[in-house]
Amino acid sequence: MRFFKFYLPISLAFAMAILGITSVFVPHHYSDNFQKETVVWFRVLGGVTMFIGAYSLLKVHFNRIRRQQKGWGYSALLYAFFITVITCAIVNYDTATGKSKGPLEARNMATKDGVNWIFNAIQRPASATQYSLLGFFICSAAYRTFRAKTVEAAVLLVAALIVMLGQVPLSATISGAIPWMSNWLLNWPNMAVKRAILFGICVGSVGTSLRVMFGIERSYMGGD
Amino acid sequence: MKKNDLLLIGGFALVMAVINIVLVATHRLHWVGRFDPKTLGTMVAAAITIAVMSQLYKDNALFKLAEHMLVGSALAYGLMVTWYAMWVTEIIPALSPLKTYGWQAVVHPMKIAEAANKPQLLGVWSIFLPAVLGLMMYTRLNKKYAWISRIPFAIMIGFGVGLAIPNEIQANLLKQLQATMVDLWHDPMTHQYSWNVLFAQIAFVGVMATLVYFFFSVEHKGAFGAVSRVGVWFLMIAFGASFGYTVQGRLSLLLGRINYLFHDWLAIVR
Amino acid sequence: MKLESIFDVDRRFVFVGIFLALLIPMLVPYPLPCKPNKDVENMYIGIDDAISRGKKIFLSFEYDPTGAAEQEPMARAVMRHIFSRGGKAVIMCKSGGQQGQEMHQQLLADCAQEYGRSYGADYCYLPYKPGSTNLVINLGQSLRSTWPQDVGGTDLADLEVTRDVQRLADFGYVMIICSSLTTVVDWLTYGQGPYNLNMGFGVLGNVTPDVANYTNSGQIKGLLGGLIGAAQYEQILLDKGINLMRRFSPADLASAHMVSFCSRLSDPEADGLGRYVWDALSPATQAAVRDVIKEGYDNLNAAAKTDIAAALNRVIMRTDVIPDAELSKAKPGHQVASLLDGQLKERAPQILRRLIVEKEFGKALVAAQSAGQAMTWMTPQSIAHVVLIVAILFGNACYLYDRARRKKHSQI
Repeated sequence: MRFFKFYLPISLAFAMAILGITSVFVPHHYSDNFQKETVVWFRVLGGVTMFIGAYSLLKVHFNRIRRQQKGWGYSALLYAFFITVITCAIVNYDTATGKSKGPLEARNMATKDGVNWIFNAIQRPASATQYSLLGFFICSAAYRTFRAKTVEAAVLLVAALIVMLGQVPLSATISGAIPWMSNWLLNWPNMAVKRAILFGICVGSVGTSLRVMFGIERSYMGGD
Repeated sequence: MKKNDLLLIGGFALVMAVINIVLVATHRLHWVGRFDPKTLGTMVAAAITIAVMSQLYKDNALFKLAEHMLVGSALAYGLMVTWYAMWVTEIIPALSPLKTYGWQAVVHPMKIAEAANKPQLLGVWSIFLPAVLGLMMYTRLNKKYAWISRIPFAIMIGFGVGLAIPNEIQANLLKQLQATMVDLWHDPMTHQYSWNVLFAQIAFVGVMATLVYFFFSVEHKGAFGAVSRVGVWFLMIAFGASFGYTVQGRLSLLLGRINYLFHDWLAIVR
Repeated sequence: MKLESIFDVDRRFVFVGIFLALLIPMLVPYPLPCKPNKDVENMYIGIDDAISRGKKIFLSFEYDPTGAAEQEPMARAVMRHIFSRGGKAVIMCKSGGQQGQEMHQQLLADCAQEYGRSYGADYCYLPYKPGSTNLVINLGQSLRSTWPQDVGGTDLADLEVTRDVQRLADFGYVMIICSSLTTVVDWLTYGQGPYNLNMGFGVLGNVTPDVANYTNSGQIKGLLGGLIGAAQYEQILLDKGINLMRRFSPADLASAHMVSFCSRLSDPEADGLGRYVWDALSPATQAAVRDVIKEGYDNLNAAAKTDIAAALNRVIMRTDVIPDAELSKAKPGHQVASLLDGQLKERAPQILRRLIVEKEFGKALVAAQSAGQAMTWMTPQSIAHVVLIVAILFGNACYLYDRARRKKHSQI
């Protein structure tokens, strides 16, 4: 059993990594086809496994409803919306013919049916607003805590103020030097830092890849 | 749900209903016909926007309501999109030779795939094999058989790292190194010292100093410490730039929502 | 008392302040000119150059409603540019954009209508497919095996726009509108790197500083960073007269002035232009226009607006309604006049006719040369930035004053 649980996955990972590297370096149509085919496989695999995440989330809320835990009403609402959208999706209403196409025929996401209505009335405003609230938090935090307490903090502060001002057109009406400085900070000192960090990330990523390849890094296998 | 929560939700719905009636009566919102799903959608979307924004005051029932509606519908929407994008347009059509050619499609997959003009090289096996791997992944949900899911993970991750090693080195490491190791004394165009050369020198110092700062195997003292301190200064400038851009980005998104409320719904902003 | 304690206000007051700083300037739209930076100019040049070489443009729309406020203006500006130059584009949707497919298609249809371009011949939309990195690798190898069909179920081999393109490398410029650094790196690693593509990006504001090293190394040829990037691209469109080349679209009919517009159209004593447009409308639209006057507000449906826009377009596309001799009535401003004398010389009659129609109907029609959404929004953005900067500076002044005072006290 140890072979199947331990050695087989490690050997497969090693073999696939070698094939992956080979497919980049060997300009033969076999290796091209292999790469093409494998990449299709992984997309199909993604399609087959699409229910895993949904299952876990729905299970948590199902248990909450069953045990009538605090806030179970919200979980019931979550289920109600889940079921409504899924039902509309399965019906797959076709506005052109006025008939249901069923779940086995192609669907254009711009079709104006129930899914589309819920998406535009609920999902779209809720997700966009959720994201936009960060604007309030970041400004509030800056207003109350952004202080030049040390020389380094002062450098950060000055850079931030120049970039903030330089990135709006009003700055150009004050002085053309402000947007220039802002772009300069972005394109030279900032670029240098991002490049140095990228070197670190890249070396780290290649190192981790090699560790996975040689079976040293095995976190993808979960626990023993 | 507490009684207060229900009161809050009911009160909010009532206020929104009154506002919307006033908007329709004053022709700021246009209700066409007996039932107008588009305008109703605008009204509901405005209510949801306000409900999510109410979180700024404090965590409350309205926000939770909107949040759970979002999660429920987004989950279903995600499944639907994957179903139609992957299963209906790719997986099911790839299996269609089974219907036309029967077992021949399984025994001679490559020949049949070519005859049926399918992009999958191994024909139906291009679906069967990853489907089996995908089903193996579901064993993650059961502790006893979870080890089976290691096999598809190993195949996926193994191939992923195999592709990543050369491509990562080529696209990130080498190209970035090449861009750093430029002539630091002459401009490539004029072959003379210029402002751009000075900036390239500054960038070079920045890259080196930042790398020194992140090098923890040597104690940051003396000359090494001084260089590392320069690295901190560069890092601070980069953080400042990131902060400035983040403020800009977040405020832009907020503008989008304010525009929705005051332009699309209340029709105050023209 | 510590001066800094005045900053200890409830954060909700700060939220209200930010909200007002954005809202108040929005009430009075006043677009400011946005000077394009080098990265934005590079994108414009890259796309323009590809089109003039007869190459097609590949775009990946990977934005959805969450980032649409920043990224939709980018997509609109770029599409207007491509369509105005007669370029052909293939647009795909990848992870990150799956929830935005409806808005992508709407935007493409709007832009195509503005420049008289058609689906299939000038552009096509490839619907969302899962698999982020894998999809980029697939696209590099073969477009058709990745997307055998477009959004309407037509084979790519049957579409004029995709007939002679096999893979990413066949396109003259590749532009990605995405939200995360990971996506940028994926495209550069598996798309740009192996095939040496001309690639540009439109990213959210917060991602912009993270990709600076890629623009410096030349891997990214053109970058629109956040709303300011979109605004700068819109500025180029204004400067080059690309907006002037637009035809009328339903969105050009200003809702606020619809009643006076409809009264003007249905006036039985009207002659010339108004009469021509009225006669060109279908009976259903004419009835809808009369209904607007009766009800006193804009209740025109989409079909009626499309019909009106089509009638207005007939005026600017034909020579008999506004004869060439009357084109001098347009009296374009200095900037427009110089464009009409220069690069827009061939299109001058159509543009002058549009200007005459705009003049005739006043505020009811959105001017072709008006600033885009991103440019308009940059003014409230500017005010909010200035308010925040002043607040931060004031906070620091209070902090430094308090610190100096503390130091002084401790010395005593």
